Order: sequence, then C-alpha cells, then structure tokens
Amino acid sequence: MEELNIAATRNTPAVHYQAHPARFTVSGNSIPENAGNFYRPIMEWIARNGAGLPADCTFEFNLPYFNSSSLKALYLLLMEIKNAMQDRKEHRIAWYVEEEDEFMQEAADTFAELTGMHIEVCHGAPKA
Amino acid sequence: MNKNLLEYQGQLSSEVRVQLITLLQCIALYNLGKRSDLKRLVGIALELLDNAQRYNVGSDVDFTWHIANGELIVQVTNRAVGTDAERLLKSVADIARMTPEEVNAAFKQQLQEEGFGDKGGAGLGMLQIARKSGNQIRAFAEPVDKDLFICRSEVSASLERTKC
Repeated sequence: MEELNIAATRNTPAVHYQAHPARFTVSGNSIPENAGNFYRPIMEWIARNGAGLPADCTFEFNLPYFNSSSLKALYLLLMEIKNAMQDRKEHRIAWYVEEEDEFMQEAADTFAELTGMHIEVCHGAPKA
Repeated sequence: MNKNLLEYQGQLSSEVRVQLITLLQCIALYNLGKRSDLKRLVGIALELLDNAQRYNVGSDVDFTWHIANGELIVQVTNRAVGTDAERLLKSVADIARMTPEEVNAAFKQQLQEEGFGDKGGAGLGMLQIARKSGNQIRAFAEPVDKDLFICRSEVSASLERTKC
C-alpha cells in the first residue's frame, strides 16, 4: 500500500491514510482556488490502492469550511471511494459536523442523496 | 461608526482570501452571535471572493461586507475580460429566472458533471450563493477598455433566522 500523507496548508486539508486501524482522513479547511488540482492525486491514490483497502476501513471527513469547487471534488472523491469499496460493505463514511451547523449537515445530506452511500453524521471532534 | 461594515480594497491572493474569511468568521460570530447559519453567511463571501480571484484581470478587488436592517449585503468588484463578464451576467440572469426547486436541481446536476473549468471553477458558485441567499444576486458589468470590464457582484441575504 502506497503512503498517503498530505500536510494541511492554510487553504487545503490534511489527507492521511493509516493502516492499523484502517483509517482514511481528510481534515481541515478546503478553500483552494483550484480544488480539482488538489484532490486529483488523492482520487488517483484511491483508484490505485482501493482494492487493497481493508473492508472495515473508515473514511473520515472533518472539513469546517469548504468552497463549492471543493464540494465538487469531494463528491468525485466519494464516488471514487464508492467504486473502490463496492464489494466490501463493512466500510464506514464518517462526516463530522459541528453542533448546530446547517452548512455541513446539508452537505452530508446532499452527498448521501447523490452518491447513494450511507454517510454517518458525527458530532464533536474525531479521535486524533 | 458602523460596527457591521468591513471594507477591503487591494490585492486578492489566496492568502488574503484565507485571512478575510477568518476575519469574517470572527465578525459574524461576535456581531450576530452563535447561530446555525453563520457558515451560510460567511460562505456567500467565500464564493464571491473565489469567483473574483478566479476571473480577475490583475489582482485588485473591492470587497464589502455590510449588515443593516436585518440583511447581510456582500459586494465584490473586480476586472474581467469580456467572455468572463458575459458569463457572469448570463449566469446570474439564468439563476434569477429559476424557482428555488430549480436552483436546487441545477446545483445537484452541476455537482455531478465531470470535470472543472479551465480556471478551476466547478460551475457551482453562483448556484450555491443563490441557495444560501434566497436567490438575491445582482451582477453588473461596465466596459472600461477593449475586452476589459469592471464587474460587480452583489448578494443580499436575510438574517431572519433562529439563533442557536
């Protein structure tokens, strides 16, 4: 399995995969001018390594702010994850929402509707 | 002194955009209090600044964030080439004719379209603003030179929401 370890910047999130327990995380503000350029290598990583991901892998998204360009990139990333994990139903998508945050809740609802995936809305901060 | 006014005139880089959004989060929180739609309001400014940065000729913009009479008004002015100015006007005019249901449907359809524009746009910004503002978007373009326009986008959003 190739490493995936992208550090956060002022306008892009940290993206990381750890093997034990299997956990893919996207964490931080996502407001780049060109989200396609930022997320393309991550989608390519999923495409290359998805078949080797454990069935119980957790995909965590904790994005306090993101722009509409990132919204599209995140949709495409979720679809890549769906394709990669289609035969392994034990995986989990965790979408973190701050308390009383209608913006993030709405994004989770939209993604669930358009991808057909079960997206678990979680409150509070993810485990470090 | 108007305590609900933020004005910025100058260069718009990615770093300036990040700093403005951070500042607006503080301004919104401390002037409006904790409420469930704070990100919706700041998000309107974020999308307008995104557009201005993406399609700007040069890098200077005028930006204002103003709260008065129960409304947030956000304005961005930048320079753009003719094709980008026309696209802005057409996009806003098309969205203005849509019902809220049509805006939502267009937003979801655009979200599922493959790919990004040449300048990194997803074609979602104005639709997202329309969803967040109740479709209160206005756009103006004034020619200043051959193939150069001054574009102004203005969004107003009601603050009549329930606080947390």
